[in-house]
This record gives sequence, C-alpha cells and structure tokens, in this order.
Amino acid sequence: MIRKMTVSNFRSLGDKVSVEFGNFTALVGTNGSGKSTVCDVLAFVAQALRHSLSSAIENRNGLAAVRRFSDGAPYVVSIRLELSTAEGAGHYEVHINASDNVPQVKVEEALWAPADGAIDSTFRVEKGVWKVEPGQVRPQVDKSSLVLSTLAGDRRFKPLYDSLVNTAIYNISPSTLRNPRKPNPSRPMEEQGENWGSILAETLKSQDRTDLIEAMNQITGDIDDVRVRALGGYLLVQFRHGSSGSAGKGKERWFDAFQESDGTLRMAGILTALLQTPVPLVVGVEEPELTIHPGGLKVLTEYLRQASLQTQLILTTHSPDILDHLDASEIRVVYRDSGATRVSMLATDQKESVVHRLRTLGEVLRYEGLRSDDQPETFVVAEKP
Amino acid sequence: MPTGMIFVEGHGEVKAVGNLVVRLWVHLGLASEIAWKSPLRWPLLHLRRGIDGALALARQERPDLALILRDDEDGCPAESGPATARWVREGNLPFPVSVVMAYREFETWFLPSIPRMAGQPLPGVAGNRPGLSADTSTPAYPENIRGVKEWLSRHYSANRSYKATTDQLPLTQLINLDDLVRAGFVENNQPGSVSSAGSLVRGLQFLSSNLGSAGSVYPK
Repeated sequence: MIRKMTVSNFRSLGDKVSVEFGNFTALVGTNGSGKSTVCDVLAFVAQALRHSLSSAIENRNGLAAVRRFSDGAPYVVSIRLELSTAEGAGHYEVHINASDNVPQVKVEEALWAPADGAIDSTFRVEKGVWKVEPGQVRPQVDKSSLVLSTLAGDRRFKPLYDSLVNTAIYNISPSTLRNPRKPNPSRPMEEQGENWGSILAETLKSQDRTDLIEAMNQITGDIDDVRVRALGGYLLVQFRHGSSGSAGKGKERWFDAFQESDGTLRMAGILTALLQTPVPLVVGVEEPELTIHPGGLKVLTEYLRQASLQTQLILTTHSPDILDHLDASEIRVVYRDSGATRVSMLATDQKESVVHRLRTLGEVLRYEGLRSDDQPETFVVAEKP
Repeated sequence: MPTGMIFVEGHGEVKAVGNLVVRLWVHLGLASEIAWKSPLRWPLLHLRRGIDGALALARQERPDLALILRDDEDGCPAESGPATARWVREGNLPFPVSVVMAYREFETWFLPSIPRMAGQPLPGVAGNRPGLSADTSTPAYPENIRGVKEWLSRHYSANRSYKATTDQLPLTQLINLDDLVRAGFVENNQPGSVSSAGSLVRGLQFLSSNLGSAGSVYPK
C-alpha cells in the first residue's frame, strides 16, 4: 500500500506536495485542480519501471509536459513514494531533469525493509554513479534508465518493484466499451477498458457474476443478465433487459453493448475493473460519477468500498452524491495555489461540521466548496466606488 | 383505506423499511389495513430544517398517518426522540405521527435474527449471492456495536462486504419478527437487547390507536 507520496514539479504539482493515502482515498477538487495529476504520479512510476522512463515521458507528450511550467530555470521533477505491505516497508525516490532536452535520472534511491527481520536492502544512484551500492549484484547504470527496473528480479527489491508497478488508474470511456474488440486477456484490465470484454467474460465465470449483475440491476432497474459472445474473432458484450418483470416473463431480450447508454456501459466497465481477479494492488478510478445517474452512485460507492478490502482504492471526484457516502477523513482536497497544485486534508471547521452532522460532505462541496487548512482564508473587502 | 407515509434518512432503507413496517403492522395485529406509500428518503431528519421539510410535504400529501424513522448513530434516543417529536408537535399536523430512532442504525434490527440469517444466500436477479457466514452468531449487546454495517461485513466471506443497496432488503425479509419484538422489551425483568425495536413497536401501536386524531405525536 502506498502510504505517502511527496512530489515536486510533476505536471501541475508544486513544490514538495505531500499526500497521505489510506485504503480508500478520495481526491476532490475543482476542474483543472490537478486531481488526475496526483493519480498520474502513480501511473507514471508504474509505467517508467515496467516499460522505460523515456516511454513514460513520451506517453505524456515529452518532458516539457511532464515537468511543471517554469518562467526561469527548468524544474527538477522529484517523486518519493513510501509504502508498506505484509512483506515489508520501504520507499522509492526518483529525481528527473534533462540535458539537451533529453530526460536524465538525477537521483534514484530505493530502500526495502523486509518484515521477516532480514537485513534492509538499499541503493542510491546520482547522475549515473553509484553512491550506495545494492551489494554484490551491481548492474551497470546510466543516466537515462531506472535501476530498480534492472533489479526487478532481485528478490531483495522484488516486493518493492511489484508494489510500484501493480497499479491501474481507470478512466473508463463508454465509447471504448461500445465497440466489439478482439480477445485480449492480459491483466490488469486496460485503463480505458480496451480489453473489457475479455476481462468481463472471466468475471462472469466467477462467483462475482451475481454481484456484477445485481449492481447493474440496481442501477438500471431492468438489466438481469450479462453475457460475452465471440463473433467473427471479436467479443461482443450483451445485456438482457426486463425478462424478470411481468411483461417480459420468458422473453429473451438481449441488447448489444453499442445499443446501451453511456452510464450503463461505464458502470459495467468500472464494476469489471473492481471485480477482476487478481485485482491490482492500487486501483485508481477517475471521476466514477460521470454519466451515471445520481441514484446509482450509492451502489457504485459500495462496490468501490468492497474493492478496497483487496486493493488500495483511490478515486478522483467532484460529485456531492459520492461525497455523501464517504468519511471526511478519506477526503484529500486538491486545489491550485499560485498556479500550482497543492493537496491537503479537509479544513478542520468543515470536517467538524460534517462530523457533528450539521451538513453533509456533499452539501459542503455544493454550497461552499471544500477547503483545506492550508488555504489562505478569504475576506470580504469593501471596495470604494 | 387509510394511507400511511414513511420518511427515512438512509440511502438503502427505502425498500427495506417498507418491508419491515408492513410486516410488523400485520404481525402486531394492529387495527385497520393501511395503504403504505413507498417510503420517502428525506435528508437531515436529525435537524429541525429536515423535519420541517418532511412535515411540509406530509401536510401537502395528507396521509392518515406518518412514520418518521431515522438512524440515531451515536445519539441518545431517550433525548433525540422526544426532541424530534417536539418539532413535529409544533407542526400540528392533521394526522398522527410517530418518530422512531433506530439505535444505532437500521441494521441493528437485524441482530436478533442473526441465527436465521447466518449461512443464508441472498437472492437476486441473477441468482443467489453469499451473505453472512454460517458461523455468525448474535452479539451479546447488539446496541453496543458502533457500525453494524461494518460488523456485518466482517461476517461476510473474505473480500466481500455488506452493501445496503443490494443486501438490506433480502436480510430484512429474513428478520424474525417474534425475535425482534422480544428484543425490544423487558422480559423476565431483563431489559431487551435492542430497545429501539420496542420503540418501533410502540410507534406503530400509537399510530394505530390514534388514527383520526389530529396533532398526536409519539413519543409524547
């Protein structure tokens, strides 16, 4: 589990932005505040370790887009993740700058302390030179690659590596789900749901099938079955409507995914991500409320919470309806200060008003907007005419 | 046939409360058959403004009786029930109203029936879902449990949790009304383990015996 993230200058994130995570954490902020950027830090590290630093940067349109805009000297991007699992605890830190516009690793540091009492393992590399060597196995280093990727198979660092790469941030797109796709059983489910049909087919074979269909029924009122059919080398998802009602008794009325509403598809996609086996260690869900009827968000929140029994769940949201089902301690307020994203706990006075049930979190968001204690208070100024 | 309105605060409680109230009314052998309207979810029933809003709607709908049911969580039902009833009394409605606090939450009323629920699958549109583990037993002091939903989740199989939206109604249907009523009252000089169930019973009995009586409110 990622316990804490400290980031400087990654996309819109300002200097030394610190975020503490629990099993279930909701990042809440206005449009453009940087909620998705916080999730993207985790996705960036996972991609950089799993594939390469350069591909993680190129996927984000280059280093200029990855590091915070600067009027003067370019910023150094620094990311530090602190984590713990049943196997141990540790941290991973990387600082990235550039030389002639080519990304370079300025600092890379890792530490893993096993829970079984074995000695800690650590390394530190600065500008391609070992500063703390990881022991006898000492791979060659260069300024453009991450050493932890090279040490992924080393049992001393494997738990740390596995914890960092086993992350999926979902931004499910109904238009992606609508089209039949070729089978692709790779896991975890892809982040926009590109291989939804393949993962859904597996879920429907498991004991989670009834859970998934029950939730779809709660949301839509009349979906009572879901299936995945193979046609011409493609997977086609179909939903059965209304056959359990009195009017539809005995009738098989199946509709293809491309005939379904955006909300129905998005809900089905998110549920598939949450119920997949194995579920990634960290699952992010971007704005789960999009296109889903407000009355269905309680169902969705309950499934998100169930998923958090197995995975670390991080969601971004600005939905009062979702907030009404969360605990104030689970909220992280994301906001802009002098053009840079900051993240903080909910302001004490707002938290107290919710704890004492004077208003709900959703009401605070809707009527006042969430604040943090770190945000400067604003006062009314009587301006002269 | 007289009509009844029910106001609830919780999100998952609309269908479940309807099921419990209708069954309990019949079980208690209360006078008159009531046409219960589908329960209405109403926010902030613990605040004056929430109650005032609910009363305004009830006045417009003009039922023959109304039940206001809310979770009392960490409050003291002996205080919050009469306080809420006082706000209702000031509304001077032309029909009887009962205010009942579920202490600490609706799911507390499941606890006397746990032996009946344990190991039972929860029926749904796509077949049965696993519910409470077969070895789950009724806790000694049900009303001492803070967070009954979380308690229920801990007695589900691994990686599953109690979800009010899908599980509350099937579990409510499994409530044994004899057990619930017994848990609400003093028996053999022993106080009931779920005192708020007694409040629900008295609230329904009050509505039955005060049908047609304008401005009457339980608790007095």
